[in-house]
Amino acid sequence: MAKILLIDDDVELCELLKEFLQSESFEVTIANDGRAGLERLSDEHPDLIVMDIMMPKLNGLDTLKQLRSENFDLPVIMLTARGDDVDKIVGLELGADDYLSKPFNPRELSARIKAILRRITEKQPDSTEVYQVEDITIHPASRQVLVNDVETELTAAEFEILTILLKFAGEVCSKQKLTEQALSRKLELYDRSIDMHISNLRKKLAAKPDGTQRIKTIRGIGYMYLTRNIQ
Amino acid sequence: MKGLFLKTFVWFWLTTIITISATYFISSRLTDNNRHTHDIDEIVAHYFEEFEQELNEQGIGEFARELKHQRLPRGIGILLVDDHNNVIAVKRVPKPILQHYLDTGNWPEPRGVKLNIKAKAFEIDARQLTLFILWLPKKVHADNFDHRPWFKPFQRTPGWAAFRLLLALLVSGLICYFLARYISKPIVKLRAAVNQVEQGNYDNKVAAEFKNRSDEIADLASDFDRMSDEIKNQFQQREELLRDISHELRSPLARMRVASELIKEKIDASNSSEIDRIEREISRLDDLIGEIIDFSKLTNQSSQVNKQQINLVELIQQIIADVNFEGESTHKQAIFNTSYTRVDIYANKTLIMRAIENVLRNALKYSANDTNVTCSLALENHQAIIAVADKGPGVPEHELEQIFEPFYRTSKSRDRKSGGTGLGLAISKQAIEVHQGEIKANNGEEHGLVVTIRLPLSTQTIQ
Repeated sequence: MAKILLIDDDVELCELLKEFLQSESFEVTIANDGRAGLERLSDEHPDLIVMDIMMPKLNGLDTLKQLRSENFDLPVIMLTARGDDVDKIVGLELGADDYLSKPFNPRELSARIKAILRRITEKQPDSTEVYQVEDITIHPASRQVLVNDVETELTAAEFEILTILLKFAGEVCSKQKLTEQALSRKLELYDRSIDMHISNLRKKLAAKPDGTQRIKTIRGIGYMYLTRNIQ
Repeated sequence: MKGLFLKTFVWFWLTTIITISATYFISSRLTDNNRHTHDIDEIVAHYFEEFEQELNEQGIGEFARELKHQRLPRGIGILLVDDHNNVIAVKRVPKPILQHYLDTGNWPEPRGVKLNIKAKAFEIDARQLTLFILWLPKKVHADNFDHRPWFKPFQRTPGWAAFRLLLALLVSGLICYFLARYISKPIVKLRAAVNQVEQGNYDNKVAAEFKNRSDEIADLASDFDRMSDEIKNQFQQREELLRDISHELRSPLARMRVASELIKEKIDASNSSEIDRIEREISRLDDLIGEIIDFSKLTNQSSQVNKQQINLVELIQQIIADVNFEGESTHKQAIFNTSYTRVDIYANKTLIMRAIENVLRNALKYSANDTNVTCSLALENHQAIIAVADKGPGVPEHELEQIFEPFYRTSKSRDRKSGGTGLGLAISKQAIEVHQGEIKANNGEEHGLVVTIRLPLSTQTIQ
């Protein structure tokens, strides 16, 4: 049974969500502010965090920042106020794996949790498969990314996206495909998740040694990992 | 702000030039030799009379002593001699002239100047005396009898006056230039600061640039900074308040949404249509809260911030991609027609995007399935004109203006089946008007509604 850490200052909402998620057979722990959430982290070892952005004491974004400085892989779903694009973008920039705007359909939340968890557990047994494109090497089994033999830390979502881009290096990957395969959900209206993850990837991977970009934006369609013969 | 600098400079300089010329003219008139000849004649006659009287009353010795302390008009000299040309009293007669007279018995005639001499003879105490009054034009001192020979040729040239005039003009011009700069420069700086605030940059402090001054302009600068701080504060408080309202209103909705889901699990699934209805109403309320908050942000002009150069062609393409993505299921499509690749406006991207999107969404909503909505972008009189035409039922003529009012629904669609919050077009109107644009609706030639948005172009960046 997957463990979920739910961090939200709305106590009643937490209770309701806990009941709902338990009925979906998750184990749920609740923390009512960011600091308490971080404290729970070491005792509970959750598989996934669902966290509100607007919270007293330590808000969601700061909590996420702190969390990411210690633990890179733990998937995080952020709950944002609707229409607050800035929060979404900042959240994704800081390495959230997904976001949902409040009020949301709890089924949607549970579907996203399942998608993220499935993504992680599914990929793990993958034997000794290795993707290599030029100076980048990916080991899906150990979730390791080597750029020029130097290990680079990526979040779970970034890792998935990069894997798909490298698998189809030199081909255009549509945003739909990337969302469905890497985030295991459907592309939504105004969905900028992929764009933000790509932007993070670009920052973390930096340009190629010859100064050219790695990931090209194909306007209106998606992205492409550039290889030397297609530039 | 070259205007103010130029104006101040030109006006100050002109005033200075006029003052200099006037002073020069008047003073030159005053020192004109001929002008006072008549007056001097009178004065001389008066002096002869006075001196004769004094000589009679005081005697020669006393008169000579008194004369030393006597005040005489400028340029007048006096010589009193006896019949053997012995000097009894002298005042202000230049030595060379006196010497010449005593040696030769004649008065010299210096070059180029008129030396006026009047003489009168008296008989006092049985002595024959002659009193000379000389009035010497200034030039007698300056030129012919000056002890500084190097100065002479220079001073006498006609270029001297021109040189002095030129120097005066140059110096006054320089002073006026700095004065004009001193006045116009802080205003240019303040204006730049005002522009910054207009663009939402409240942290640009202007007082620091005036720390060398301690006058009203420096005060104005610090007042200005205080004002922009105050605006920033109010703006932030407002934003926070709206955020809090949004959060507080939506929290119960979020709880209701989870609760309704829990109910569904607990009851028979076939009876859940009322619960679905509750959920629909929750999401409708959620939309409404979002729109009301956006609308109130707009009506308070607090959204005048974050303006940037936007390429309308790209923006519309992006919006159309988004709305078409949503409309795929109903086979309604928006089509974009334009002959341009780049039309720049200076605006808040989010607002313009919302404005255009709401119009497009509205058009799609009222279109029949399997029809297209056309969006066109054209230019006219430095304005971008975006026209969105649908093939829906259109709007009765008398309601064309009202559709932009908040919560207005045309009589045909009052049943709310069409969905929406009733704020979409009102938000569009506000957002467009905040950008000095215009939005209008009219019925198309065949059928359907045409909404036309006009937005001022930022510069001539059209391709």
